[in-house]
Parts: sequence; structure tokens; C-alpha cells
Amino acid sequence: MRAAWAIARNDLVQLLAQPVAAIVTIAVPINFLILFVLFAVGGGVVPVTVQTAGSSPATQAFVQALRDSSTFDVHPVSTAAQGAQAIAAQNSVAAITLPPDLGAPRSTVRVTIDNLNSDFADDIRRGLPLAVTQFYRAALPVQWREVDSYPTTASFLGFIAVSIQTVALLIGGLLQGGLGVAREWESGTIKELLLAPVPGWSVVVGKLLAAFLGALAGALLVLVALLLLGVRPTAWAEYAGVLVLVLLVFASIGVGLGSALRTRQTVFPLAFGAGLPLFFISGPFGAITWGTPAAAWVARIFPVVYANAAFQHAAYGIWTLDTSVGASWGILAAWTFVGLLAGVGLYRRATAAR
Amino acid sequence: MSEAAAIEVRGLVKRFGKFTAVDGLDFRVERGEIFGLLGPNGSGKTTTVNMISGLSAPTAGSVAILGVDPLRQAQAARRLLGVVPQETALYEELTAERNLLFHAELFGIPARERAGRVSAMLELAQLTDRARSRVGTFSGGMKRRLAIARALLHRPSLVYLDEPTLGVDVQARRVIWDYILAMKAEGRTVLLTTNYLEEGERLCDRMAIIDHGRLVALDTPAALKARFGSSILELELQAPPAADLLAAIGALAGVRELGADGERLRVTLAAAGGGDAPAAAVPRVLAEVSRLGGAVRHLNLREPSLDEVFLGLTGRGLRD
Ligand SMILES: Nc1ncnc2c1ncn2[C@@H]1O[C@H](COP(=O)(O)OP(=O)(O)OP(=O)(O)O)[C@@H](O)[C@H]1O
Ligand SMILES: [Mg+2]
Repeated sequence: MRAAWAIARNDLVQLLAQPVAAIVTIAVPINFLILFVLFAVGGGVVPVTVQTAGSSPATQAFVQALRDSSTFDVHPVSTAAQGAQAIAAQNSVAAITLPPDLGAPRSTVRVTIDNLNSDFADDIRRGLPLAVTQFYRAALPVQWREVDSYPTTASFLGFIAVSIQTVALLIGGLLQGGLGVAREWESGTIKELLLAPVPGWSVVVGKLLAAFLGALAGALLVLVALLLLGVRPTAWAEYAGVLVLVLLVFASIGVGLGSALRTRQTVFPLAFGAGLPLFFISGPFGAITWGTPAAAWVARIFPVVYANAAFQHAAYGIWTLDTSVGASWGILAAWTFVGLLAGVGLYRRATAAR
Repeated sequence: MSEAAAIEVRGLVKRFGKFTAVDGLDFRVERGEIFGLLGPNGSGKTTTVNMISGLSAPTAGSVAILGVDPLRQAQAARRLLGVVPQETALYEELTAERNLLFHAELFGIPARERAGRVSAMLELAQLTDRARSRVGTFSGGMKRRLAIARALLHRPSLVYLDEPTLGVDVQARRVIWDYILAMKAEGRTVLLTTNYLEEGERLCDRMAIIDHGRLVALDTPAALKARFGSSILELELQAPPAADLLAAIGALAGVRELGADGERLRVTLAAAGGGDAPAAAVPRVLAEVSRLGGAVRHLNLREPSLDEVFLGLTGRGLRD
């Protein structure tokens, strides 16, 4: 154990001396976070201008209906020219003109759509009728009532952002574990470890510890970013538990990967090439059952999907998997065991006297 | 059996698939000697030494270092052994001091002794003023000195150096030779592999010459030269030699070849057997010259080189 600690410390000193690996590790989740933020902020609503004739209660109610539709980012303008200008300047996707007789039978709301591409145009085509329906809701012959399955609704950004924590552990664990071991082969220093009077398992434990602590630093940074975004985990113990287990799984697999590949050049693409697709099929944006069955089937084999679900559970008290909470924890624990076994096994295989 | 040898190798074989890299090696390295392993590229030096240090398992045969099996008693064997690998194997991103400290930790040197030993080794490597510099900024010679200091830090009884002066300039080479001689003076056994005959000659008490994984010869450098080398004796006479003189010299024991060009003679001398050095034939040649009325104006004797020994034994040079 003394040797394991010395090896871990040696690795961490190297990590600080040459922080490229550390920066890459953190860059990926932070990048994702920024992308997700842009995606959630920019992709959710489309900017439109609304030109009103006066401010009658009907006009105010219609503007409110537009705002409530979750489709429009409303910018009031006073002339039709301003609306057209905003479209021309790519500052708005549609110019909506409300008639003075709004609310009277057969009154007409005019909308000029920037039909440059169907994505934004369809948003308007869907959203405007919804706003009209909302405006006349009280007068409609059919009513509807919403019943919520969960006590609170997470913001879309909040919901998907939690999975960033998983990607930080996935990429961080694989890279730190893999690079830490591959580096020893590249520099020939593996001989220093193999010729030292310490058992092989203590080298693995040391490498694992260093990868764990290195990736943990990155994961905590991501957690801070999540807290700044307003994510407030309700079950901290569960959050910490998943974090530790998932990090152990991927740091161990990383150590195994590094032992098998022996060069950083091959560890990098494999960590990204295997890690990122795995992440995307594992329900970062919603339940995996919403996607294609084949992807869901593959996702179920790996621990990432259970990690995402468990983080979402710890943060929002919701469970998005059809595998029960208990079974999912069992699977995560089993994966931890498999990961450790793979890490130790591959290292021993790579260093056995043959 | 009184005392275990520093290294005892018996019937050592190593096969990689169908290829036999080491083919039945037997040798014994005594305590306190500097033992050289010489051979051309691919002759099996590194493979042999990997089996001695326990990095590789023999296909057949056995290895013991100071009576310890390097595979079954790995921990004990590793404590006895100090290794200077060919590629130095230092942590380039770390400082010289940190490299040594890490080694001290790995070898379980007690915390209170570490700082003292590390600074003593930095002193030895003449790197005290560069202790806090990253190893990546060091020259090849500095790295080699640091690697040697690191190997000595845990006070091994047996030090193994793989090509210790490969790619090092002449001055740095002499410094490293001094280190190796100092190790012997401190009572350590030294095993070194080399491609440089001059190095083997200067340092080694005994040398094993291996080729194709087999032991070709094993002896002191002087005895190897005496047994397998040839000297060239060049004579310039007052007058061109008569035919009877040439015949008489050619018939002498120890004379392998004779060439004449005017008054110049070129006599190739080889060991005549019975442990005689090639040069032992020189007085006999000179005696024949004066007996048959010749007079020597000029004489030059070129001693045999280990290169020739090597070429003679293996039919090829040491380096590709
Ligand atoms: N792991 C291996 N698998 C297959 N063949 C190997 C392996 N290791 C060494 N060899 C072969 O065994 C032979 C001896 O190699 P070795 O490295 O021991 O030679 P060497 O005497 O150290 O040579 P050099 O002077 O080039 O270092 C070579 O032909 C080499 O290709
Ligand atoms: Mg070699």
C-alpha cells in the first residue's frame, strides 16, 4: 500500500508538471456543457417580432399567449418596416402583425415567415396556431387538464446537464487511467516499476488511485459548473455514490486499456471513439426507450445508462429507466467489479514474465 | 558449495515461438568482479539479462542471483539488483531529485534516510546544482549518470548496466567508466553488456562472448586475445631476405602467414597453443633472422585487438 501511494503521488506530480492530459480530460465535458447550454437556450425558442395596434386587453392576452407557447422569443416592434428589417438582418424568424380588431370574429393575424429553412419555419407554423388556441382556450368546446407525473419539472438544460457529470467520469477515468499506464511504457519507466520490490497489484492500485484522483478533480469542476447552472441534487449521498462507482469502473478499464495498448496515441482515440458514442446512446437527453430499440439494447449492456439514470435520480428524484433502482445499482456494482478485474488482469498480462 | 555465485546461469534457453534467442547458456559470475557480455546485435544479450533480472521467464534452464531465484523470490532478487537500462527509463517530466525520491520510496528506504541518500546520490552524479531541474532538460551523459546514481541508491550487491556508454561522448564515457570501476572497488558485482571492445577490455575482469544465443568464449580480455587473436610483426631488413630465411621463418611454431616485399617482411603471428600469446613467437623469428645472417633495421609489432578476436570467433563484426 505504501508503494501504491508513492506511485499514485508520482503520477499526480507528473500530471501537474504536464497538465495537457488533465486539460483534455476536463475540456470535453466543459465543451459539452457549453454546447448543451447553447442548444437549450438557442434551440428551444425562436425570435419573432410582434407589431401591435394599440394595447387592448385582447392584444395583451395574445402576446401573453405567444410568450407562454414555449416557442417564441417575443420582440415587440411598432412598425411593419421594423419587423421586415429584423428578418432581413437575421434577427428574427417571423414578423407577426396583430390586427386592431383582434378577438373579433374572422380577425386575421398576419405572419411573415423567414422560410430560409424548414426547421425554423415549421416552428412558427406549429407555434402560432397553438398561441391562437391558447388565446381562445376558455371559449373552446373541448377542455383539457394536465396531471404531472413528477412533483417538479426539471428544466431541459438542468436535465441534460446532469449527464455531463457522467461524461466527465467516462472520459476522465478512461483517459487518466489509460494515459498514466501507457506513459510508463512509452518512457521505458515501466522497468523502474517492474524491477522494484513491490507486488504487481500495488502498481495497479497506485495507477488507479492517481487516475481516480485526477479524474475526480475534473468531475468536481463539472459539479461546480452544474451548481452554477442551478442544478441542485436532492440526494447527495446517492450522487456521491454513483460518482465514485462510475469513476472506479472507468479508471480501472482505463488502466487495462493503457496496459494493453501501451501508447498514448492509441489510448486517446479509443477513449473518445468508444466513450462518446456510448455516452450518446445512453440516454443523456431522455429515457433510452425513446430512442431506437437497437441502441437501447446496446446501451443496457454498459454502465453509462445506469449512471445517467442514477445521476438524474439523485438530482431530481425521477427515474427514467425500466430497470429498477436496486437492479441498476447492482449492475453498477457488478461493473465496478468487472472493471477492477479487467484493469488488474490486463496489467498482469502485459507485465507477466514470459 | 561454499558461497553462492553472484550470478549462476545453467542451461539457459529462451525461445520465441520457433526462434531460439538464447541457446543453452552456462556461465558463472563471481562476486566482486566486473563481467562483460559481448555480442553482435541480436545475439541474445538483452534476452539473457532479462532472464537474470526476472523480467522474462526462461524456456529451460535456471538462473540464480546470489542464490536467489529471480522469478520465485522476485522481491528479494530485485532488492539485490541495481539496473541501468539502456534507455535510462527516467521520468523526464520530473526533477532529478523527484526521480531519486520515487526510487527510494519504491525500494522502501525509511523516510528519515531518504533525503540523505538522495543528496548523496545527486552528489555522486554531479547533479546537485541541477537537482530541481526537469530530467527532460538534461544531456545524454547527465541522464546516464542519474540513472546510475538511481541504480545505486538502494545499495544493490549486483549492478547491471545495459550498453552504459551507448550514444555518450568520449569525456562522459570516461566518467561512466570511473563509476563502474568504483562500484567494483566498493565490493559490488557488475554485469555489463557492451558493443565496445575497448570498453570491455578496460573494465571487465572476464568477458563472455555470445553469438546466436550461444557462448562462444569466456575468459579475461588478455587471455581471449592471446588465445584467439593474431599479432602482426613487421620487419625491415638491411637487405632482401634469402629464400632459406623465408622458409625457416615460415616453418616456425606460431607463425601463421608470411609476406615479403623487398626488404620488408610481414609476419602474422597466432597463439601456438599451450596458453602462449601470439607475441611469444617474436624472439624465435628474430633468432632465425640473425642465425641466417640477416640484420633488422626496423621492427614493429602490432598487438591483437579484440575486434579480431571477435571476428575470428564469430565470423562477423560487433556492430552492423
Ligand atoms: N519478445 C520477442 N519476441 C520475439 N523475438 C524476440 C523477442 N525479444 C527478442 N527477440 C529476438 O531475439 C534475438 C535476440 O535479441 P536481444 O535483444 O536479446 O539481442 P541483443 O544481443 O540484446 O541485441 P542488441 O545488441 O541489438 O541489443 C533477436 O533476434 C530478437 O529479434
Ligand atoms: Mg540489447
